[in-house]
Amino acid sequence: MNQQELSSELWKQPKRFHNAWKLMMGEIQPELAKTPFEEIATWGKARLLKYSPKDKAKDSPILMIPSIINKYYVLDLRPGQSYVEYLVNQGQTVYLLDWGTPGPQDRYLTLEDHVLRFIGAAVRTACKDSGKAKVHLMGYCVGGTFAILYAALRPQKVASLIALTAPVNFHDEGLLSCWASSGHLDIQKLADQMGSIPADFLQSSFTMLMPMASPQKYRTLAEKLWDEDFLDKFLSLETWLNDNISFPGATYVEYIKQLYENNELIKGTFSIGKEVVNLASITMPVITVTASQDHIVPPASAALLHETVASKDKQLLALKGGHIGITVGSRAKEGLYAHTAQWLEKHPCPDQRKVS
Amino acid sequence: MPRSEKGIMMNPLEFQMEMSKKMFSEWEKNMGEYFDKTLRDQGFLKLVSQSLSQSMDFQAEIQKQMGTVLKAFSIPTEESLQGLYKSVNNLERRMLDLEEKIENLEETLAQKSEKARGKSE
Repeated sequence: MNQQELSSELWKQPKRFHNAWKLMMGEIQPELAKTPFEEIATWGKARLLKYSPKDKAKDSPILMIPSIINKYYVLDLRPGQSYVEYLVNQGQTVYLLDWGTPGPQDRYLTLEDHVLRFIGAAVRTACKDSGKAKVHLMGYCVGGTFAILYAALRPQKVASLIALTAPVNFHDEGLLSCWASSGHLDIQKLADQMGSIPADFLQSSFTMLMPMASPQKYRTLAEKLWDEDFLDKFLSLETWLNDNISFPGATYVEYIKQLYENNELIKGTFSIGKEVVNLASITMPVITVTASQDHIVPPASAALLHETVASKDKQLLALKGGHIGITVGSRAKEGLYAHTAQWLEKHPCPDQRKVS
Repeated sequence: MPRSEKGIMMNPLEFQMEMSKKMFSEWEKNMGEYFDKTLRDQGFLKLVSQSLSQSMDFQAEIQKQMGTVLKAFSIPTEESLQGLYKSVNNLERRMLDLEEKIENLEETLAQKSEKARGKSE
């Protein structure tokens, strides 16, 4: 360490103590989900949010389906670090389906309710509101799988599909797949007793996927505690990560048993209600996005969609980063956000027929 | 003076910091591998599942007993609430299905009237 490095390190030390004190006193509050929106519809706990651009909207409205496990605002984390904000600034109208926080009364909600009823209603509302016959559909993680299922069953309503780290092949090398396919845990009993699967239970499962991530995280925090910008980013992400929601029991049982245990989506035997889901019926343009260091949805699990769909206009976008990093990380703007904006520009949605 | 891997001379403080960083990284790596191995171990998974299952049985038994007590006092039980939840869910389902059917009908009507207008013109 030379003299310059030493003096810089000494200068950082009081800032570290000062920020640590502010952190402990709760004086630093991250600014979350700040892009202005309008709530245009609600169904049970779910609500449809509309983010409008300041100037005239372009012709490619997009409906975002976040994961059902975490809160929706990872897609609009903080100013300057928001997928929604970026697209709105590019002149696109963004609709976002917020699943809400399921309570005990939502334990009987099924996959059919989520995919065909809630997403279905959100797509119809977005079409009506934007005056388009179809909208672009973007799904993230579990929300991505739901979006894929919807696109396979109602392709006429989807202009294009963006599957963002969405699991398709559930038998992979990941730990989640290992636990689910071990068959030791009686999922039905768990759901019968707990109703909705509690957020704490899900959170601890995700922590166990990478148990050493926590010490690494806090080591980085200690090193960079002097940097206020880093601290703000860190707190925003931590707040979101710890803001989990419960998973409706009936959906959880279907999701784990049919998809994780039996891998029915790939086998072509998976059905929602009375309709069998055939991935080959996805013919609209598709982007399959994978993250190279994804420990929740291994890249191979998500990439299989690219090979399975019948679309002629399809892309496989393999981004560097982790499951969350590709959406809110430092490279997200040049990677995912810019790519989506270009894609939407190239694929305008057709107008709705006017009802006379 | 201690030297780094590249043979550069380091002061003792820097050397100590470098060593602790290396030790910590090594510890992290080993612990990570250990956790991964344990969490994939079928015996361990079976044990965790069994204990979870037993705690569910225990919880179910408590709820059953509680239900008996509440029934005696004519207070709604968990069972009665579950019935209500199911009814509300079913009503919501029917409402959304009807909404979809109406919108589809509207669309078909619009298409038909557009075709008819095209023919008459």
